[in-house]
Amino acid sequence: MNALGAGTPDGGAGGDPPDQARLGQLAEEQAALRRVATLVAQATPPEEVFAAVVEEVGRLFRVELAILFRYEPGRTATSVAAWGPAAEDLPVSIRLPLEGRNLSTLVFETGRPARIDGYADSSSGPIGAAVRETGIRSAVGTPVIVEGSLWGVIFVGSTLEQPLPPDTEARLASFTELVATAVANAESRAALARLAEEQAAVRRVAVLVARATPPEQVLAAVAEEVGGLLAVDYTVLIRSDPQDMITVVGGWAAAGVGLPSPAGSRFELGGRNVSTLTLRTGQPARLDAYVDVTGSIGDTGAQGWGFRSSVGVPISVEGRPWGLILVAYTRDQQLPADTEARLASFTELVATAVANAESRAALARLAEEQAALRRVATLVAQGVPPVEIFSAVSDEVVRLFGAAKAAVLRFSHDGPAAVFVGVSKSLDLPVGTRWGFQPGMASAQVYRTRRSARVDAMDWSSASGPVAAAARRLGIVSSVASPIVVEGRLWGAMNITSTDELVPPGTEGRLENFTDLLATAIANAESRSELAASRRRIVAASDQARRRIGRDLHDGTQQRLVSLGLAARTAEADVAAGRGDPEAYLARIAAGLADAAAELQEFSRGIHPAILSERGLGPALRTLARRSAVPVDLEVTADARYPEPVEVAAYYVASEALANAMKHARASRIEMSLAMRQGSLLLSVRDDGIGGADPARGSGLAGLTDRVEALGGSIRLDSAAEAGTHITADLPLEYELAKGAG
Amino acid sequence: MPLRCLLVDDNAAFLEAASLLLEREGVTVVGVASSIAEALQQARALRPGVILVDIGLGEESGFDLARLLAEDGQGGAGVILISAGAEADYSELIDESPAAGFLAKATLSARGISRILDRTP
Repeated sequence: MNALGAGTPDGGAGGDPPDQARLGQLAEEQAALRRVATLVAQATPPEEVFAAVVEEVGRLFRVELAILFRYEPGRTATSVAAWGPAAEDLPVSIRLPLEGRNLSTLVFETGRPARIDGYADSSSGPIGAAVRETGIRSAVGTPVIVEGSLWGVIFVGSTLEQPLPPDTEARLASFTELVATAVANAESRAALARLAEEQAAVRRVAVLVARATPPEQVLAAVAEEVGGLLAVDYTVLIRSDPQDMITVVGGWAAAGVGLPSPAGSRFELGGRNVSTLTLRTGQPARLDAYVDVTGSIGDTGAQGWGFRSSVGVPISVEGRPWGLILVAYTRDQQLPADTEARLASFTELVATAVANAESRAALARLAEEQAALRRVATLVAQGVPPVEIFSAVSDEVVRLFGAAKAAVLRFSHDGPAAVFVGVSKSLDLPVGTRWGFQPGMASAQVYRTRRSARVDAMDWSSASGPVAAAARRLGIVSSVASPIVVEGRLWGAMNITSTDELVPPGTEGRLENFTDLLATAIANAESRSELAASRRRIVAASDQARRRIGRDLHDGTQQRLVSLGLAARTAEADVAAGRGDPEAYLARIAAGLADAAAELQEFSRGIHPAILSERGLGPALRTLARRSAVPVDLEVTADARYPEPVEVAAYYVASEALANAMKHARASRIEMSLAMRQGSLLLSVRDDGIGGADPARGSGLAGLTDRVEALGGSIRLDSAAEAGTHITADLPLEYELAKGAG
Repeated sequence: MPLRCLLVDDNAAFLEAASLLLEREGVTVVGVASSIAEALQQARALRPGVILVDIGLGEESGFDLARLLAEDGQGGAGVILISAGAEADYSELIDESPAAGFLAKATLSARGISRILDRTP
């Protein structure tokens, strides 16, 4: 408030006594201040308060010009309100540089009230020139300080010759305080409103994120919200890609303007531009002067999009740099100083949306992977030939991993090499192609280490050789291979290559799920072919046995009987003729018949001993032992009846073992035992002979192995030289006859 | 003049029993053989009127012997195949063979031999 008694140089009007005039002036001033204060208290928009203040001030000080300037970034000021006859020639809302000598510049530089009398002669600069045009001669300006910062200046100017009264500065100060309060209130209200608006925008985006909206929609929504909220001309969301590339993934342009580079556009990082600065430093970056930008992004921003001021803020997803959000003005203005801070609240939301989308994508990928694995597993279970499975799996992994090509390789051990046994449709290489291992082949590493391996382009960009050359020609940037291990043997590898992006980390582990299935398919196929071979051997052994039986019957017993028949007829002839010695013939015939009978007995016992089917394994083994030429110690602790195939198999193993001991081992003693162990019948035959029996030789035992294995059992032969021979057969009682495969 | 016969069989017991029986029935067994080589040699040396050839000569085949005898110009000697098996088991092979006929060993007799030789032109 003004001190009473402050003089007014121009004196009162109409000859009132000076204190009367002062009192009137004071009352007028108080009324003006009260009116403005009321407006401020009513939360009138600042623009209205500004207009009221300049008018009140102008009338109160009886001047021709009252102006309120707001200071702007970059040493500029904008007139936000002006009053007075002289104001008509003054442009409002024009931003002018703070240069030369004038009140705005003086107050800006000193932060204190200032005065210029004789304005016409002692002012300069654009503001000075504009004010001078209005004919102002004396002017006083007072700073408007809002919460400690210089916000603007209010000044009054008179066209009269005499200077404004000396108390003008002090009186004006009361109004600047009111203006400051109005601005502070308005700013905090605006800040509140903006915060509310920002929160609403954030909430709308958050709802989208929570609803699992596809990320591209979320990104588009973020771009639009940010664009509207910050009132910029462009918002662009940019993802950073490997190898210094970036991709536009979303954007927004102020009404009616499309994105010059649509989503999906890719650029190479580098040069001086906001994207490169932001991504390289991991910090917000700003370019306000688009005169010295460089790089392909910079050129596009400056020329294609017409950027004049832009700000970028980095976005990290789960701790990893993901990309940035960029806003820009195309108008000739600088983005407000708080742009970086305001963008920051959206980057977290974008990060969450991306992270959610990624985890959903990971789930989807997992589901897809499971489906692919299930399809392959079905093929495996159906016993589809591995060759067909190999190509099917190659196509599945190409689809699943977004790889360019895939192949199943079988390792060849005669001169290390990989043979392509299955290829994806995208791989134009005939099945059967053989590649020697070369540096740069992931499969060569698998061959060496038996573990999954990865070769990225940068690891061998300088490698030489045909593989490296072919890979460069095909643009292969990454290649991953996982081993196929079939029952402990390194069988081969599955290999995938990509041409656009690096195969993502972790692919090795996922690929191994497929190689495990392939290993199962291969093992199944191998055991199927082993089974088929065993069946063929069983059939062949059976054919051979029949042939032997036929020949033995024909050559032995039948011949003997035929000869005996002839002898009988000879005897008959002799009896009829009454000559010779028929009795001797008859005696020989009788002896011959007895031999033939014994032969037949032996023979039928060989085919199937009656005692085995009549009395079981224990008695049959005892009979074998009794008849053996080499003494046998027999211990039977499992003397019951067992399934016929088990009894027959055990009997033949015992019979063959005894025969071998007798014929080949030169044994003097044989120990034979039959016992039960864990649901299996265990037959053991051990001799004290010379040992050294070769399981590969002697088809007798090989045939028996097939027979025993067909029952799910096993035969073991231990026959070190000079250590005797020990044959054991393990026959599960709950056997399952091998079923037909395929 | 009694029929002169060469017996070819790898079974010694049969050779003996058959020789004894055929001798009783008036056939002179001039020789026996148990392999192709031996039979060809005996046939050339003895010039028998009939050669009884066992179809199964161990690892060798009586059919081979019959063919070799025919090629060897033993036209004079009738070749008769014999076997412990039945004629029906071998009929096709017997038909193809240059042999004069077949006799089952069990029913071997001088009369059977004569019957086959008589119907041979």
